[in-house]
Amino acid sequence: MTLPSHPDTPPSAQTGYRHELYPYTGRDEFLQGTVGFIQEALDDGEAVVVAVPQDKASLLRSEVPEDGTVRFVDTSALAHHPGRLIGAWQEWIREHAAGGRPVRGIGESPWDQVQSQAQAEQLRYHEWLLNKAFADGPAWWLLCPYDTTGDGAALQQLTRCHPQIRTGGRSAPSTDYDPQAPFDFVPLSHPCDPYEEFIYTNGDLPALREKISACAEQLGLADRRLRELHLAATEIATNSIRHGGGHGTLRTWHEDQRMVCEFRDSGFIADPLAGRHRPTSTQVGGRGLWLVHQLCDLVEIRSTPDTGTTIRLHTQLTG
Amino acid sequence: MRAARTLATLDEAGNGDHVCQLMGPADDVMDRSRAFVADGALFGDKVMIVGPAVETAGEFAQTVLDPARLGGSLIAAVRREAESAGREGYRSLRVLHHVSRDAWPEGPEELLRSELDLEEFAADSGALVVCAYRGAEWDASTLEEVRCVHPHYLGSRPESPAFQVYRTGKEGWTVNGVIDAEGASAFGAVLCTLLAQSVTVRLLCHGLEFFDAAAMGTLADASRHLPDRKVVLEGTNDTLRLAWELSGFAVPSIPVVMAP
Repeated sequence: MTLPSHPDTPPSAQTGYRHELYPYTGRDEFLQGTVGFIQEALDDGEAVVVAVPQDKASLLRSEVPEDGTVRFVDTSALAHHPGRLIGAWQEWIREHAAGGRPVRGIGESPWDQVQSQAQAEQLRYHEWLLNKAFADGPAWWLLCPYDTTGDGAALQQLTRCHPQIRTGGRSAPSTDYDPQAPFDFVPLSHPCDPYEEFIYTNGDLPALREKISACAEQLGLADRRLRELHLAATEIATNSIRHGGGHGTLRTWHEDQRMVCEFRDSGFIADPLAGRHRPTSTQVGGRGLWLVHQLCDLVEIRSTPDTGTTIRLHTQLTG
Repeated sequence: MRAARTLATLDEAGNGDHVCQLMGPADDVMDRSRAFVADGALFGDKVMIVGPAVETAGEFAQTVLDPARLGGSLIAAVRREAESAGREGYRSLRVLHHVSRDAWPEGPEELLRSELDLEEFAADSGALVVCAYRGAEWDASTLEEVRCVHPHYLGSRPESPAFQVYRTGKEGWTVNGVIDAEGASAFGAVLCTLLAQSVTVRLLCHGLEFFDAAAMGTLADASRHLPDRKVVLEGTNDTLRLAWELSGFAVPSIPVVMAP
C-alpha cells in the first residue's frame, strides 16, 4: 500500500496532547491512514499503542507486526464502557512510555456496535473528555479513526470533540471544536414506566440497597452483578448524603435489557473528570465515582450548579 | 462455634457469651444485679459485678469491684477472678459490668480496648460477660463502637448493630454484617485497637455482607497506622477483592491480604 506523506507538523515538535479525528470510508482507507500514522511514529522513534476493535486489529496486524515498539491492546472488555477508557489509556501510555520515548495511540470505538443511544453519547463524551484528561500530562498523540459510512450527522458530533482532523495524511484544526465550550449533552430520556422511587437520607443506605435488590431480583440480577451494583449505588447515595444536600431520590426501572438506577440530588460535581482517573494508594477519598465507572456497564452524569446532579447507572441484563 | 445473636432476655445468655445490654432510664441496676446473681447461683457460677454504684451488691455477689479502685486493668482483675473461680470449684465465671462514663475518663479508645479484651476473654474462657450501658449516658458514636464488638445484644433498640467484630477461635476475629460510610469510622476504631495489640490481625469475613469504598479506605489507613502490622481478611467475596484492587489499595505499602 502507499503510505501517506508526513503531516505538516513533525511529531517531535509537538508539545502536550494531540487528539485527531480520522474520518475514513472502508477497509482500505482505514489501513492507509492508520498504517501511515504508525509508520510516521516508527520513523521518528516513537512507540505506538493500538486500541481498536478486534476486526480492525486483525487488519492492522497483517500490515504492521506487533513488536516492542507497536503494541496492540485488547479493548474487548473496555470498549463498551466509556467511563473506563481514560484510566485505561493512562495505563497503556504509562507502560509503553517507560523508556522515555514519545508515544502515539490509535483508538477507535466500536461505533457500529453501540448498544444504546446513551452509550453512543457517553462514547462521544469520552472523546471530549480526553482533551481535558491529558491537557497537562506528557506529550502524546492520539488518532481516532471513524468510519463515516452512511453517518454524516454522527461525524459532525465527533468533530466537536477533536481539536484536529486528519485528511489525506495531513492534519488540520477542526473548525467545529471549541475548547471553551461545554459538552453539548443530549437531554436524558424519561424514565420508563413503571419506575420505583425512593427518597433517601442519612441512615437509609441499607434500605436503598433493599430497594435496588427488589428491582434487581425481578429482573434476574443477582450474586456478583448485584453486589457490584450495590457497591456503586452506595457510593452515589453516600455522595448525595455528604455533598448533595443531605438527601437524594432513587428511581429504578428496566429498559432494553438494562436495569437503570437513577440518583438525583442538589449537589454539583464541578470536575467533569471526577472518577475517570485511577486512584493512587495514598490519595484521600475520591474512589467512589471511579469504582462506579469500573463496576457499572454504563454511567451517565449530568451536573450543573442550577439543576443539581443526576446520575444513571446502567446494568446490562443477560438472557 | 460462637455466633452473633440478639437476645430477648438475659436468661438466654450462656457460657462464652459477651452481651451488650442497652438499658433504658427506667431499668434498675440493682434489680438487674440481683437477677444476674440468682442465675449464677442456679448454674454454679461465680458472680463478679463491676460498677461504681453497686456497693450493696456485695451483699449477694461473690466479688464486687469499683473500676475506679482497681489498681490495674479490668481485664487483669477479671482474669484473676476466673482463675480463682476455677480453684474454688465454680463451674465458670459470670461478669456483670455496669459501664459508667465516669469510670472511663481515658475516653472511648480505652473503653473499646477493654471491651475487646473482655470479648477475647469470654470467647477463650467460656465465661459469661454482660456489659450494661445506659444509653443516655453515652454519645452515639461510642455506643456504636462498643455495640459492634459484642456478638450478643440485648436492649431497647430493636436492631443489631450494622456490623459486628467478635472473637472466633484462638487467632481470628469474625466480621459480619454491613460496613459502609455510616459504619466505617467504628470499624476503623476497632481495627486500630486490634492492631495496637497484635502484629497480625486475622479477620474472618465469610459473613461480611457489604464493604464500601469508605470502609476500604478505613481498612487501608488502619493497616498503615502502626509499623510492621498486617491485616489478613479471609472469606472475602470476589466483589470486595475486585474493588480493593480497583481502588489502588493492592500495593505492597498497604499490608492487607485479601483471601477468598
